[in-house]
Amino acid sequence: MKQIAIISGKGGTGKTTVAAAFAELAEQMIVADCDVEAPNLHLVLAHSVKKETEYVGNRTARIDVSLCTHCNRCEEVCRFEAVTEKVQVGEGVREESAFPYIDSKRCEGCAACVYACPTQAIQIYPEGTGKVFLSETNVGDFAHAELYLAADGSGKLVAEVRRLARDEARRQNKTVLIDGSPGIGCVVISTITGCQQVLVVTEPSQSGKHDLERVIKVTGHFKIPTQVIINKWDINPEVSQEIEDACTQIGVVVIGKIPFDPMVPKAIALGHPITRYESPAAEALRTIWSKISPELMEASGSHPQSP
Amino acid sequence: MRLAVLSGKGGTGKTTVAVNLALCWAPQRKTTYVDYDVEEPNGFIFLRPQIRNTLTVSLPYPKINGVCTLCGKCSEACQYHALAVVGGQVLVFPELCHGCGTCGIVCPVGAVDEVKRPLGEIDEGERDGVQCFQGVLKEGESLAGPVIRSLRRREKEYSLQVEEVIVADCPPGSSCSVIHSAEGSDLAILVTEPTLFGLHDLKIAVRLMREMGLEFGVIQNKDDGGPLIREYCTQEGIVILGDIPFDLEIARIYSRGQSLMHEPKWAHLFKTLGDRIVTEVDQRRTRGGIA
Repeated sequence: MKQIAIISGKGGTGKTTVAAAFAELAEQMIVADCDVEAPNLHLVLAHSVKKETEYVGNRTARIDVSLCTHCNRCEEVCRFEAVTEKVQVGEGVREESAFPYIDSKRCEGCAACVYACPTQAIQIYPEGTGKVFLSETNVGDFAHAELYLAADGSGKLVAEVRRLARDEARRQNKTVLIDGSPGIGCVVISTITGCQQVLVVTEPSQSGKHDLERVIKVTGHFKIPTQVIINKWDINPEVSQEIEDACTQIGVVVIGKIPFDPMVPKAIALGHPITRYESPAAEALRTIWSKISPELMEASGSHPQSP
Repeated sequence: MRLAVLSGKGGTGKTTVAVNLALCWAPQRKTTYVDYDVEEPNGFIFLRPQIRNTLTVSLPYPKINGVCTLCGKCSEACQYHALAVVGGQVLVFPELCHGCGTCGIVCPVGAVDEVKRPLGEIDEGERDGVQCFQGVLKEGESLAGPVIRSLRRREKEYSLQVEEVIVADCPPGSSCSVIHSAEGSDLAILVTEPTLFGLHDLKIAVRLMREMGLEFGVIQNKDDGGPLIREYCTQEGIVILGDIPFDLEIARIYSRGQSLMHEPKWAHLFKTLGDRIVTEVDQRRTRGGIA
């Protein structure tokens, strides 16, 4: 089973447009939207949810104030600035006295306070991270998620979406196509680890170039073969050329360039992948797909399943 | 006055808005720009500040000393599986460690020392009267949180004066990174674009602002004159602070890494936008004061 991830470093370069196009052109991949904080792929991939589960991946500490002796050890040991004083009312507690309060948005569930508390007033509780969906589309199954509002743990939720996609891909002997998120941190690392290939979608701007260089260092760090697509390349052909030159220098292949195309937002507005239409961007995406698909799709059906 | 510029969706123009607003306020007010998008900071590409200082952000991780009895309490307590007792020694995996110090708390014999590893840096500089700060996460590192927290502490140390404008350029998404960089602001500016993707992610950002109890307004970037964002904002009672037109000239200026404040036409637009935001913050403060 092969897994390919589409990421970008910089946001808004066209990851989802590319992912939706490839999903439609391949017709038989398992698609995973790993941009769990701002997922968009479901807007252009007609789907119906088959299975919905809650993923409980977070842990936060909570204080039983009736056991608290105000020793402040919890506040001292917390390195995430999650423990503050707050007036709160609890069982067996006199009103209007200040007790330590753990801000769940800051708590990373490390349990330092749990072990530091001399009266065992603090415990770690599991907390929901988000909802995970397995959906059906006419181009294959689709794993996606919704991070709960203000929840921590998007990296873990991404891992859960990938697990779901991987299980389906193994069962159906298919390739996994991942639509990733911007950035280079835990969410992106969680998105690309174990992938056989990464495609970075960039744009011809100094920001795009800067962010591309950083994200290529990350894929290099994890030793994942990486190729680049320059989207809207003709907005600035000079910077496009700079990006191509920079890629050549570090031995990264620019596998294709997509022109600026007003049809792209129109297709999104209609809720369809751009490849549904005859347009310059669709044409460029078909060319890129014909270059990468032979190696990517050969795995399906011709190799024994991974254990 | 602290302003958080955020978006939900990436690439809607947070940095364009944050940088140009900072440049437009700088001649009249003491202005500080802080780039909290530590995974992909881009503000300095446009501001090009003279860097005067760089601080290393490091994260502590455990180093086990000779008094260890291999009792295994540290590895049991570690929530991130960063320690394991294997074959007569304690193995430490620094890349899994969150630097929480729990292993040191539970060790009964004081065998846990802490060493630090660099996670990123904070750069400080100045350009055209704008004080500039940025956090930069090292490539290959996963934890943006400690870099964001250090940057926030640095911002607080630095900006104790009252009549100051702080523009915080926040990361995309809707995670804890966004919350930690935006909380405590007088106004959040949600930058969006008139596409279905933009609208979808704007809705997520709006829910986040309401959950956090932050005052907020919207700037519509790449405005094509269409009703998509306007209708949503009217329906929800959300103030649109201003619109930046869809314009290939803006895209080209941006692509070269230049700020729009150097072009009179766009400088005018940002001045209007800047005045509107100041008025909005004042009005909401007064309203909050009465209520």
